[in-house]
Amino acid sequence: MNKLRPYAYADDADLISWSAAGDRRAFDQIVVRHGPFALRVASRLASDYLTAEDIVQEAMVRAWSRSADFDPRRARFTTWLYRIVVNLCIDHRRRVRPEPMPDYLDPPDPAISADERLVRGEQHAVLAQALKNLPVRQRAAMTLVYDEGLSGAETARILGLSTKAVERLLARARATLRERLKAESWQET
Amino acid sequence: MLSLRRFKWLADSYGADLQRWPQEERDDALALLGGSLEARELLAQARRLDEALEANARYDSPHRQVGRQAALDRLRSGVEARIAAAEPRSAGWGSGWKMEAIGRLLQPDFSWVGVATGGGLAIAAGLLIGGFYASAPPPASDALLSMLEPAPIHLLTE
Repeated sequence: MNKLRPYAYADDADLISWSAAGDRRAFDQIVVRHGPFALRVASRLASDYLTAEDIVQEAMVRAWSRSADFDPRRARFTTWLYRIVVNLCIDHRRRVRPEPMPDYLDPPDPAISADERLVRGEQHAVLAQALKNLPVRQRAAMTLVYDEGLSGAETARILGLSTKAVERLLARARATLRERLKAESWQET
Repeated sequence: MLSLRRFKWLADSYGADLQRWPQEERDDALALLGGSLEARELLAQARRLDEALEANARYDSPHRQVGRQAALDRLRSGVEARIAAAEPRSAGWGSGWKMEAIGRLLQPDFSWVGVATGGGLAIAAGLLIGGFYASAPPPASDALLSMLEPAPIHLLTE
């Protein structure tokens, strides 16, 4: 009977319902469909890519084992799955000690103009490091809204917060990034 | 009507791209932008950081795209292996083929009823007949011996 199921065309609610009955092909379709998003988000929140892959794998296994608990009347499947992924990333970041600041964040060489540094990608390095050093909830909010294009309301549902709380996280994150870039001779105005 | 304070809050949070702003506030934001120099300046300031973030994302994406399919393949095989290894459901009640087998048993398929009924009737008849003979008193031993004796001559000649 399972061979006839239209996995590629089925919606998430059907796939997870079939998964709850033990249909592994249905769950594999969920992994194919949502794995790329999960890997992108986790790679931005975890300390390295291999850790991100481990986190997403764990999230997927949890989703499989809890698939019978998913209630489509209470939440969208993506919200439910992404919340598992993001929560695991947050847990992981809280367990891992922050990395020491790299050497290239020492005061910039005044002999090199800001434009030259920009060309060399130093601004990228500064910004990338500043993003990485953000508190994990701020980083998660930035990733979901700015990198993945989710709305503030969707992000709030994934993080289990109010929309206003998400906006506060975003505003704090942006303020930190502005300060970090200003310190590296980047002028806002 | 959107206040300038709320406009600043939204710009600080979502940046200069109004597509990221809450949908229900975009029209008001556009209206405010049309009439407020301060609002336009706030958005211009927010755009500076947006541009840096976009440049960062562009710089970053080629690195992230390398091996993306390979990463997804690893994820699929890893998840499959862990599910198979754990097997709390596959080895038990949740397994697909077992659930189907159970489902088939519960489906209203009565093709087996005729065979079962015939077999049951045959067994019941056997028990009944067997019980009848078992309950009859055994013949007396003298009567049994007399049955084995040859018949008297006069009876044979009649």
